[in-house]
Amino acid sequence: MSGICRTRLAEERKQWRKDHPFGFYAKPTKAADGSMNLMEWEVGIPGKTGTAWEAGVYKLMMIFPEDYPSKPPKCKFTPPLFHPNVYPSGTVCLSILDEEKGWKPAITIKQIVLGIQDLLDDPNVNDPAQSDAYTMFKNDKAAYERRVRVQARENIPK
Amino acid sequence: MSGASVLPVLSLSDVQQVAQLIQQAYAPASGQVSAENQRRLQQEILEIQRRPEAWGLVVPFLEHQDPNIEFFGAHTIQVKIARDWDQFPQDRTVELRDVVLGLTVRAVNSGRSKVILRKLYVSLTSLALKLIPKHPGEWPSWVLSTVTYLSENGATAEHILDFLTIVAEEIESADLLQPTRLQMRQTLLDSVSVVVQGITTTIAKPAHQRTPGELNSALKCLEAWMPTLPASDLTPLIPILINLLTPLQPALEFDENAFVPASDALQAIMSDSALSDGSGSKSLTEPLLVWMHTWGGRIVDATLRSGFVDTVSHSFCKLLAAVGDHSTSYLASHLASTSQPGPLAGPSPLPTKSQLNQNYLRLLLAYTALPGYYGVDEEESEMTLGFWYLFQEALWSVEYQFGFEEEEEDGVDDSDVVREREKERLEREQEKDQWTIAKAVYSELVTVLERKVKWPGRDELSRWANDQKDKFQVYRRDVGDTLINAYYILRNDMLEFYINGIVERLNTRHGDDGWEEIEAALHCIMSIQEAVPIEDNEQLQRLFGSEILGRLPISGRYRVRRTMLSLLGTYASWFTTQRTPPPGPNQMSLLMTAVSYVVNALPESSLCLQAANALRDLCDANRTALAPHIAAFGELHAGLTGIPDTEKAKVLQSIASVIQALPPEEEIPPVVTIVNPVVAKLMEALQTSVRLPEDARALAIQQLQTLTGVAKGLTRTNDGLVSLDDSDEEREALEHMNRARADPRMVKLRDELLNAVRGTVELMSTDASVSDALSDLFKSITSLPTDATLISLPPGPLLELVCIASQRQLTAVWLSLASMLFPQLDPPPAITTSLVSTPSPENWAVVTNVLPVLLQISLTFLGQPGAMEANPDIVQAFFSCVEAVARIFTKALYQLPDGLLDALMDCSMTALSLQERYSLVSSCTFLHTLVNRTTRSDDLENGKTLLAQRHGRSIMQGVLLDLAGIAPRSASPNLIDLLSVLLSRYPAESRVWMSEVLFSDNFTPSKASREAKEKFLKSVASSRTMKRTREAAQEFVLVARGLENSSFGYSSVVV
Repeated sequence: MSGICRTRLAEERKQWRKDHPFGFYAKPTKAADGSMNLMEWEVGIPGKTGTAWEAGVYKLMMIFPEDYPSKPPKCKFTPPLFHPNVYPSGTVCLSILDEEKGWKPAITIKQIVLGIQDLLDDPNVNDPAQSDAYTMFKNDKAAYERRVRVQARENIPK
Repeated sequence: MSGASVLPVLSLSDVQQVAQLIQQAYAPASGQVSAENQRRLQQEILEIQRRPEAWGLVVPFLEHQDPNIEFFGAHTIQVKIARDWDQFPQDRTVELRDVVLGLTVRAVNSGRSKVILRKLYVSLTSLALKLIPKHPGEWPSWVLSTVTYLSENGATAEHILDFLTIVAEEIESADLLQPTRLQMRQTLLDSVSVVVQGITTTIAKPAHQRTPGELNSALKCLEAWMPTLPASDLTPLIPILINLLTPLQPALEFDENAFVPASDALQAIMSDSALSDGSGSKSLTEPLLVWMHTWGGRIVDATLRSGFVDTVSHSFCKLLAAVGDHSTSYLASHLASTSQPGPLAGPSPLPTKSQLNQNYLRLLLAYTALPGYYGVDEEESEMTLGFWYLFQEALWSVEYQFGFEEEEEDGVDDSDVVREREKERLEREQEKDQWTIAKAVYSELVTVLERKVKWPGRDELSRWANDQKDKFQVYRRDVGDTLINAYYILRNDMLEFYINGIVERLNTRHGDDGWEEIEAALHCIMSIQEAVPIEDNEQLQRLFGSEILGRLPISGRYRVRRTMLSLLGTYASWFTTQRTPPPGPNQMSLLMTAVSYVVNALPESSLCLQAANALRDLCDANRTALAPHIAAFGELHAGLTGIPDTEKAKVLQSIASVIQALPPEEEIPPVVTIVNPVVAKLMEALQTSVRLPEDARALAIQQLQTLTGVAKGLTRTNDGLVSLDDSDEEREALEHMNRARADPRMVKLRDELLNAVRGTVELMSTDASVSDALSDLFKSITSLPTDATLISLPPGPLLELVCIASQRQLTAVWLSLASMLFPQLDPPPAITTSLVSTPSPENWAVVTNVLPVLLQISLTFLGQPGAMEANPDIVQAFFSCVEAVARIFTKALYQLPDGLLDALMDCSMTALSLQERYSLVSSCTFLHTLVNRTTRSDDLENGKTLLAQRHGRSIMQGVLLDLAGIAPRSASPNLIDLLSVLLSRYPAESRVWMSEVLFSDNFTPSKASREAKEKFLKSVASSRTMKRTREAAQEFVLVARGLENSSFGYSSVVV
């Protein structure tokens, strides 16, 4: 199985290099000796312009299981993000990343990161993943937006 | 071939009426029609097009003189075939085929535009997609026969090539089932020879013999067929394509009309054909490298001379990038090869492979290094960046194999040994040469990229649009990634290059000049941090010492300072390698120099964010080394008023993290010094909250955030310096901390702190931002006893505060905090013992006080109609809270005031019946824990009986209804766990409950028959293992949904 997984990831990397959405980055991580770990990627997701998320680029780790692409990667914001659909651990709760819901092996890394970018400003009220952001989003949108803007400032790329 | 025989004939007036509608909607004069009207007209036209009669519009419209109406005719036939195929009499499809062929030929011969022709080609392909899968006999060899028909009836080579392009594109993009896809692909494969012949004829003939669009059509056709053509058919085309790149005569300019499509086709061969991924080094890579050796320099020189990347040069850059992508391994493994490529047309004598490769790298580097700014002056340099990381990785994975032909001889003689040694010697030499070349190339790359990431001066930058700035910023990030790969080749030489460069600039710069160059170098050093080992490093010592950091500006010059601040934060953990202080009494350590530089920038609003982050990272990573300088941090604290509010919390966190490295008793004075004023301010905010609610709120939030920062800073980290793995040391450290916590100054401080927090909860907890800040504080200021800090607050009083806040407004935030605090009331013992822990009487008291209140509030809230559906967050947080109680304080649930446990169980049953997964799963988990813990505790015999008598049957009913179809299948594992625990703890009762529920008249309607239910009951009743129970339940889930024996059902079982 791992053969399929690595071949697919190598191809994903190639496709990403040829064509990726503006302002995003995605690359396999490297060990201290420079050797590459195709199974774990570091990804940067920019907030959309015109939203409270703009100017920030949010760092996320994508961890691929050995049976990828039958199973989806785990996507985890590091540090954890203030967002109604992100678990306190940083893991993103999104239907296309859920094996039992919307995951399909044909979904590309590009589609995943665009899906997560959409989710930033358009949270799903059916998936409460962390109580702090969810409660604020539900009870006081203006305060929520202020809090998100503060977070965006902390995530301005260096 | 008139359409009249098979397509309906409409009256002239009908045709004219529709034509008029189209003219109104689409004619140039339609500007006079309002947008609203135009939409209405378009809608009307689309509706007409849907009707079966619309087939009759095709012929008259295609003969119309108005191009809009003519287009609509072509469009209609295509849409009708693709979408409204069922409207057409299926016994007359062959006639329709002939009609469309006839209409196409007529359009070709009357010189219709390419837009119309293309629509008709699409129509032919759509027709083939309908006919071939069902009745292949109705159109034998459809591609070939259509080509023959068209060319016999006046179509030119260009027409035929355009048709073939559409055929491949349409079949490739059609949404087909796998067998049909294979069938249609086969029709393409059967036509390969005629396609290749058509393309070859056009591209090989002299330019003057081709019609103007013919070459383009041929090459577009080639691109469309690329994935279909086998390598053996592609290979002969390559030299012809390469030939098209070359000027007709050496003295002439490159012909952009031939160059660009030929280059596009070659790129497509390298990326999307049977030869992609590095195949064909002899037939593809080497001939291209030879061509580039001969001609590439001319294109690059012209670009550099004119300062402008023209169409040919742009296309050449893309071609270079495509070769890089395709042939990375070849380029890496032949970098130092002295052999020549295979026999090829080209200069004589042929250059060596090494020369060819180096020439290629030089050309590509020229584009990486294009003069000017990316996104403003040029758009090409970015295209080349991807190559450099692939090339580095390929260089690392080269395995040297020399081409000694293996001779099949038996036995080993002296000559074998000699040959083996010679082979090894050559390998070593070539590897050495390879690294020499690679280092030279990457050194050059590093030099040009340092220039490319430099920001322009203020004047020029003010002329850039915002999107140009954004684009440049992203480009700088991408360059940073490329540099990491360069670092793997160059290592410390690269750092030395930057450091020497910065020093030289610092030595030679005048006035305001030179800072942008220095900033660029600092950006580069920052970008490679993740690759630089954390070990002593002379170059970094120079960077952070008096040679560079000491000479950077300390006022104005925001960009270079901001980058240096970020750089310091990025390299924070490197400073841990600098254990020995520098010689000389007045020498400040590198770390303290760095901290001073950062602190100096804190008061400036445009730098404070980067400065505060850098300070936090430096202090966090270097706690022990900074602890002796605690007095200096006292000064920093005294000057806190000058620091923008947004960053104060981080500065206090930084100071706190240094304090944490002191022995606990020494922590007391500085902790009191930094925490007291914050608590006082919080009290002040509370006192003004009636008079100035907005100001008080903002002030309170800031103090809460600051306290959170201090609590985080004071929390011990594993920085590798203090490792307390020895239990004696651990015990001693704990005793130290407890003694310090018991100091009256600390007791008083914590009391005041708790008071201030209580006041905040009472006055402001319903405000969303305050509640958020309180939540963060609660999480960071509580801990298990082993991790307690001087200011850690006990869980009991905090839980009481949570209860107060929930009474004001019940939210998931408070319930989540309660789930965190309940377990802390019965913490694991600080030192491992064999005794079972028991909560203190005070903590028991807290539980018995808080639990009924919290339950009452929550159950009242969730009991309102629709509340559970509308608040999945609260449902989930509530059940995880009661689950924590059931796990740790099981007994407390059986000591609740009358009726409260029943109400809780009712609420759980309602949650079980919701189709919403979160409520279902969380209530399931709670019930599982409750049953499990109740039946395991020796002192809960009464509880065990009560649970069975009052609630056992309803829990079973909830589970079985869910399994039979109410719950989504993804919840099955949780439900099955609950079923298993009921069966194992209440075996006899469970069988009775199951039988009553399953065979009750009002059991949920499902596909499970009486026999299936009996089988299920029998299997679980006789099951002695969890595994058997699980299997039986899984089967029942499938049977109840009618999914048994379906591959979907079994393959999607959730375990």
